[in-house]
Amino acid sequence: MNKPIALIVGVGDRKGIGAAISAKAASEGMHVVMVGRTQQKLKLVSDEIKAAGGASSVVIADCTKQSNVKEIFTQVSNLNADLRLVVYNTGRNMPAPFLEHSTRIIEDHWKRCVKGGTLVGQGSVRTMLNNNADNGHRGTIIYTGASASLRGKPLFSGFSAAKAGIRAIAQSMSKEFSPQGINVANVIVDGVVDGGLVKSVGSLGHYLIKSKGKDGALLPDEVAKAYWMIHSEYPHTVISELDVRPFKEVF
Amino acid sequence: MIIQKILKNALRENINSLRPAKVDKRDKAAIVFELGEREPSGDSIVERFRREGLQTYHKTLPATDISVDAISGIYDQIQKDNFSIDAVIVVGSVGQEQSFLDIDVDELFSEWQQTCLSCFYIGQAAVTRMQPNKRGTVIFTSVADVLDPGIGRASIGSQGAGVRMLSQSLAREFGPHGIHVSHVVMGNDDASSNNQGGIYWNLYQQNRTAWTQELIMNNQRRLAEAHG
Repeated sequence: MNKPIALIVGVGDRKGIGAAISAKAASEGMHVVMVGRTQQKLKLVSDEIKAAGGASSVVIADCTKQSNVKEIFTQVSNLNADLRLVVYNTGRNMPAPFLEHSTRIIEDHWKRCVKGGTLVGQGSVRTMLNNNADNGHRGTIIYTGASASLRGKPLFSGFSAAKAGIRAIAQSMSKEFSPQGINVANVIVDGVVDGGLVKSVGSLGHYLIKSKGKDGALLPDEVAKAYWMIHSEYPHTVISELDVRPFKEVF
Repeated sequence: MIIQKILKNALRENINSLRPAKVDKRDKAAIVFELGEREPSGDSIVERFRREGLQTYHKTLPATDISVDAISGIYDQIQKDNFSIDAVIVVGSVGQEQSFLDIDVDELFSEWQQTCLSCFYIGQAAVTRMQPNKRGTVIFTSVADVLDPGIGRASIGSQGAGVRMLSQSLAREFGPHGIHVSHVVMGNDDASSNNQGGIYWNLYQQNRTAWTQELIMNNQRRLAEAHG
């Protein structure tokens, strides 16, 4: 039988949450379908998975486009295996004062978080409903959130409104599809991720990580374990939401 | 770049906080915005604010004309009438109950424009005009289960959650500058059973040493049903 599929949407740098979850799921015996925007970055992750004896495929797509999302699920269905885990891990946190939030900024946040999350969520639920219930479990869908999913702060009105928007949708999905064995969960990632994204903003990013001190930033491979716990504990424990933050993060 | 932005913003805020408030001798006005195309739900608020002596405008935003210009135009007209905009209230909701799988993302986008994006524009136009006076009240409204949407309430809950976060961001950004931003959760879709006008008037009247950011309105019938 083919390996069960994990679809990880929003994979970039190896030192990011999406890639870390991909590596984790592959090491647990899943075929990982990685969706991202940069072929080169995805190749590095798939090479690592391959070297470790795992299986993966890569899709370049923009999840704010309905046709792109359709293509992702066509590729998933071509693998002839059960889709059991989906992680929606996109969203870009660019701070801006409220009065400088242009229509484009506000809309882009919404499209990345809510539109893409809804499209991927619908495709995932439809696909998973065809799975046999394995001990009552058809699949797990996890959305990556942030502290902004729970509270709005200055400079983050657009990001926060979008993150809370998809969290609300996930909460409703969870109630609707739990009886069919689909677990929908939110992960609230609170803190700076010691990864490629923050370092891509140059010396400032390095400074930000350094200013957090030893073990003050989230390590993606450690964060990935929390996602895996949500998937693997079901149905004994149904986790609808959890947060992860470094021990000294103020919250 | 991000840190520079944050520092620049902090600097500007500090400079602004040193400026004295403008002396505004114009009479005060309130605007009650209705979102969506349902029956107006802000009548009791309009009535109360009028009774208390504010020049009160009741504006319904059409579903198809959500733009910065359309919304700014409403504010500009009120200022031309020589009133000072001191209270801005947003009520109403858009969206329908449906299975998550039946959500059409284009419709979801249009509903989001009518609710959340409108509230961004309404908020931007409001704080721009309230800032010189270092006072003013903005109250947003969301529907019942915005805190934990139930089955079939994904789109409605999502719009409300966006508005709620917007209200929190604004409260934290502009509260220290004297602008009170509040969020009312309607515990029931039918506001007529509540003293809505009185509640909103009370929020507007609050002294800045004791502002409410969030208030959840309920009624006994709904609570009784919820607790079976």
